[in-house]
Amino acid sequence: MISLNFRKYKLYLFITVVYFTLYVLNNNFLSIFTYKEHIHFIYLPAGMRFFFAAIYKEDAWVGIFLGSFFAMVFLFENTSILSIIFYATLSATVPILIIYTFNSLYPLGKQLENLNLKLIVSMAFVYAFTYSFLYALYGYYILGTTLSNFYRDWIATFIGDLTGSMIFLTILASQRHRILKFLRI
Amino acid sequence: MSNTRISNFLNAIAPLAEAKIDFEDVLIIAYLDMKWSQKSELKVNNVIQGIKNLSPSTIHRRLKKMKQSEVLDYVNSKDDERVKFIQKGKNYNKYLMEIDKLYDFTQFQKI
Repeated sequence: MISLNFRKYKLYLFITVVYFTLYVLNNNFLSIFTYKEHIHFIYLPAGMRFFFAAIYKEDAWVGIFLGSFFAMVFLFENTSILSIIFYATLSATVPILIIYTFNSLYPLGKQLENLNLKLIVSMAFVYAFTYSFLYALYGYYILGTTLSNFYRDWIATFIGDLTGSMIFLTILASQRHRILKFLRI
Repeated sequence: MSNTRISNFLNAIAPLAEAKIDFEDVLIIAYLDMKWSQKSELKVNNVIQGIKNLSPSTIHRRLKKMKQSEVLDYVNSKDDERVKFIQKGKNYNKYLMEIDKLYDFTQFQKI
């Protein structure tokens, strides 16, 4: 039991570190695609959290939340802690909810054996749409942005999450032989 | 358990980065390369006669596709304009590198 928990902590730590690193790298190296603080037209971590959510489901929540939380604390001094907690919660919760929703509609299988590219692209699309909507909604209702800013933020976040997911997944697909070899699968 | 999931997930996204290389192309390229190294000038008919494992229609189809993607090119003969020779296209070397990369990734097992 103890060793099982230790395994989980290791997983949380791994996801936190990897997610944090990609978040910071995306923010620094793809800054040319920044629309405004927190919003990028190419947002690679979106693909990473989608990947982790698909593989580890609810076990990925803690890692994504902490990675997202620490990255935002580290990068954005002017963002309130409440907003950071909300964004981190959204980042961790939405992809997992999407995976569960799709699983109930189109059973993906315990080992994701029924997963195919069409389903993944559909999930990435719905995930980007839902996340960007909730993100913009928070800005509109809590931070008091205007309606036109709400639409702009929604569209920009949607584009960033979708392109980021697809680019991340394509990179992952191109490196799959190395990953499988590394994991000795 | 998660390793199987990772493997299934990666297999599902594999088409995103699938190398657009056909075994038939590899065979044709290998044949062409061998003949070119012997300084031979090759026409489509020579390839059809040289590769017995593939049907003429398959060879025609694959050559056409490789011409479209500028892996190969056709050049008219100086003596007879009706005769066309196959030559390396603009993307030939790039294509060879892709084949090499695919070969590197392939893990052969001793049986």
